[in-house]
Amino acid sequence: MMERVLVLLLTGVALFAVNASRVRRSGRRERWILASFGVPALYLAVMYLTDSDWPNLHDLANQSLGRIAHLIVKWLEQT
Amino acid sequence: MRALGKQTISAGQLAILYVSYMIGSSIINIPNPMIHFAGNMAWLSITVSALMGMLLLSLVLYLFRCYPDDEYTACLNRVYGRWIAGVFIVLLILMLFLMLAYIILDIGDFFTNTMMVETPMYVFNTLTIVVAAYTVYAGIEVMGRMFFLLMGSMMLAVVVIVFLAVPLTRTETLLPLFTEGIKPVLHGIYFSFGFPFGELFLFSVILPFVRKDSRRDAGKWLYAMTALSWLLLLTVVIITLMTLGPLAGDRKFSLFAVARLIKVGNFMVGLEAIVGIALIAGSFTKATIVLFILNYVTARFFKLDDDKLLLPAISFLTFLLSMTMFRTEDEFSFAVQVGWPFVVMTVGIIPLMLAALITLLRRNMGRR
Repeated sequence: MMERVLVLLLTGVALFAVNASRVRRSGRRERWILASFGVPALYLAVMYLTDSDWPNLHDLANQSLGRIAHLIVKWLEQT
Repeated sequence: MRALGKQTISAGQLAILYVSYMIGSSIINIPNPMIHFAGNMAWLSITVSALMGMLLLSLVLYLFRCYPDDEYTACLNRVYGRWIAGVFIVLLILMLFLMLAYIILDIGDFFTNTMMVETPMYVFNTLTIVVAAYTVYAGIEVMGRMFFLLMGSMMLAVVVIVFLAVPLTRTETLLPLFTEGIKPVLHGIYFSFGFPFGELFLFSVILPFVRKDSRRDAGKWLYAMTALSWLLLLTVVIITLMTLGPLAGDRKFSLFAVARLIKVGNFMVGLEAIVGIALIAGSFTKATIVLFILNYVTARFFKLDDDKLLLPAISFLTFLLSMTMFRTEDEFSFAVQVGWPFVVMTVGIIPLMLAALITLLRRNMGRR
């Protein structure tokens, strides 16, 4: 767990440090939009830290378009 | 929204970015699944996919000619109206997140499977996304110039492997043909059209960055680079088949596996280490281009003045996706080989084709 916290912190610092001045210069609307990205980031971060198997983006793709893709590939694999 | 200062690229730099994008990760990832699906007919599947890619490219260029000063999102707004275009753009953004996470995961997968098996995957994923983000910060002009060197080294590595592998080849492994009928060929087309030829539609986002004086040559360069991509992939698939034989469909990262077999005298061995780095540089260039496109489309969707404001958030989200999406390599392979081609076709290609058709009909009816 501590290793994963460290990974997230280091990655976050490496990515966001250079953006600090841009955020300071940005307007209220832009900050709200940036903050809205924090919601999925928090969800995924908790998933990563707790090593949980919660629904993810690829599940959204698999449960929708993936079902049709599976049928197509199943047909293609039949000899 | 104030007008944005925009970096521009020449048609030649566009060509470099395009070929980086098309063969960057596919040159190492395509041969194994293609041969697994289509067997000895993988060469035919690649060829048909490339031809379909050329047709798709003609639609991309047609839309660019009709709306030369519009970004891709603005073009979709014009064709479909704000609400329907909004739905397509949201789906496109989700698709791009998925695509970028897959590429980053693939880079980590490559290193942990081949050269650095005991290193945790997060090391590679973190380094890739951070370096890609800083490259996107530098801008598309810097990317266009820098990728010339990276792609040059990658293509040199591929040419060296192909030439040195020739003595190991056996032509009998190319036969027999059509042993299981046409379906394996269709399966190969399904996969290779989804990755990489169908993905070329994303260059609709990059085309407006081409300088106005270079735009006349942009189409020619793109067609030529599509043909070059086809030729390189075809060569790699054939060499893999002729070298690894029946094992070719089962060995992951088969070009790397071919490089492992190469020995020149008793002194030139272990070429795969140098070659592996060159090959993965191609994947890095594709990751960077996709991150650029994702960041740009997202910034335009939210109508932001500063188009790099969201870049760290997007990069961080992608890193988290790459670390949480899959538990096993089989799940990842399934997502890429089964689901991904269909996602590209429905989320990317169909809206673009419809947009081209609607534009054509409107122009014929005298409306713009």
